[in-house]
Amino acid sequence: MTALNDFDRVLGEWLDEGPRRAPDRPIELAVEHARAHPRRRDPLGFLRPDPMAPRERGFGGRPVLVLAILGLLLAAIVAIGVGGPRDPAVVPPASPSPTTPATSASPSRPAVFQVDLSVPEGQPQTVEVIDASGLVVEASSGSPSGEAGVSLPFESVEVTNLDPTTLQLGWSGLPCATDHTLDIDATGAAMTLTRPACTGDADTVLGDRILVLRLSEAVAAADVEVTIAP
Amino acid sequence: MQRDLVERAARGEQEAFDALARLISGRLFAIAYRILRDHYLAEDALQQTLITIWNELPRLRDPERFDAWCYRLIVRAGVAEARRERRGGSTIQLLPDDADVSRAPDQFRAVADRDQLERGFRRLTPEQRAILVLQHFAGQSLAEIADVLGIPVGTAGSRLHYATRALRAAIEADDRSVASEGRLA
Repeated sequence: MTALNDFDRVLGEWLDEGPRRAPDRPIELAVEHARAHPRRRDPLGFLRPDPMAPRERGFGGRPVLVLAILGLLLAAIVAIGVGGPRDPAVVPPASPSPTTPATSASPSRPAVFQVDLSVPEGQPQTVEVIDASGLVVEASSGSPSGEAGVSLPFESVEVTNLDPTTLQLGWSGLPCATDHTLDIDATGAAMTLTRPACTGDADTVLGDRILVLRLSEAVAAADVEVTIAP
Repeated sequence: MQRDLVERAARGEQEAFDALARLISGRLFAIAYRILRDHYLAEDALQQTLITIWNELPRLRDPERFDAWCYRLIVRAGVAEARRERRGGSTIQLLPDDADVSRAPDQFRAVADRDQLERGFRRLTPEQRAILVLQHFAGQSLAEIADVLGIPVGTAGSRLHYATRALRAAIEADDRSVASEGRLA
């Protein structure tokens, strides 16, 4: 216990060293930016999400937006029921592509994608992507490098932009069979990767896992936070 | 005073934003520097954060949440800068789940070696560094860290635990490599 307390104390003292005063340059550049971009009145501002709204409140605590969406949905249902054209018989594809959504995205029914991850060695790794944001167009496996060892973190997920509308999620895991789930919340900015304890032979050699998400609009990797849950 | 500046800056008053930026920048820069361990990257993270504050401030409904929001933005910007910097390879050190870190009570006396701590800290992921900085430098409680990071308190506790363990593992690895270099020499 003493060792633990000492460690915390030394870490605290070490972190305490270092600058506490900000240089002028970034402040001046930001103030300059503010002058160059004066704020205009935003008539739809009340619809925009509060950046500090609790996560569990979907839509960032925007009841007006929720009501608007419900109203539009109701109107669409009524329109289809009253005068909409009847679809000819739709035959579902015999074998849906693993990267296409298994269900359509809507606020109540998130889209689901099944992805078999490419792994250099070890047992099968899958990810079920459950997308409540409606942003994901396609989910597929990336190709981890075949080199020995890992280049990606185990305790966290590294998110990068392959391009403005494509996110790459990378992490590492044990080689035994693992069925992951990736839950994407309604904002698209918070994701939870559930990685249950794997079954079968559990070696201690980690391997990289890469999941690629193609999105319908640009999302910056820095704005996305992925949490790993056991 | 800060609340007044926040409200005026949210309405678009540039003088208020100027004063607010100068008021909060020291704290934010200090956090960014400690996550990134690099003056210039910390400057970039601070600049990005201040610009986001100006652009997004009207969306913040409760001015009382301004500090937590700023911490969230600087951590996010710091992590993004660190990722850009590290792209091309990262090193993660893990202890097995059953590792007993208490069995070597004197092991961390050597932590007084600042260089060793610096090397160990740099081997952590940016997220791990951020949570350690929030607790051990910013003095935030688990609940406050959870609020800043937008995660449940339990998850924050778990991340903090793993970050501490990873730092200890990195220092242990550093110890071993120094010892083996000594033997070779």
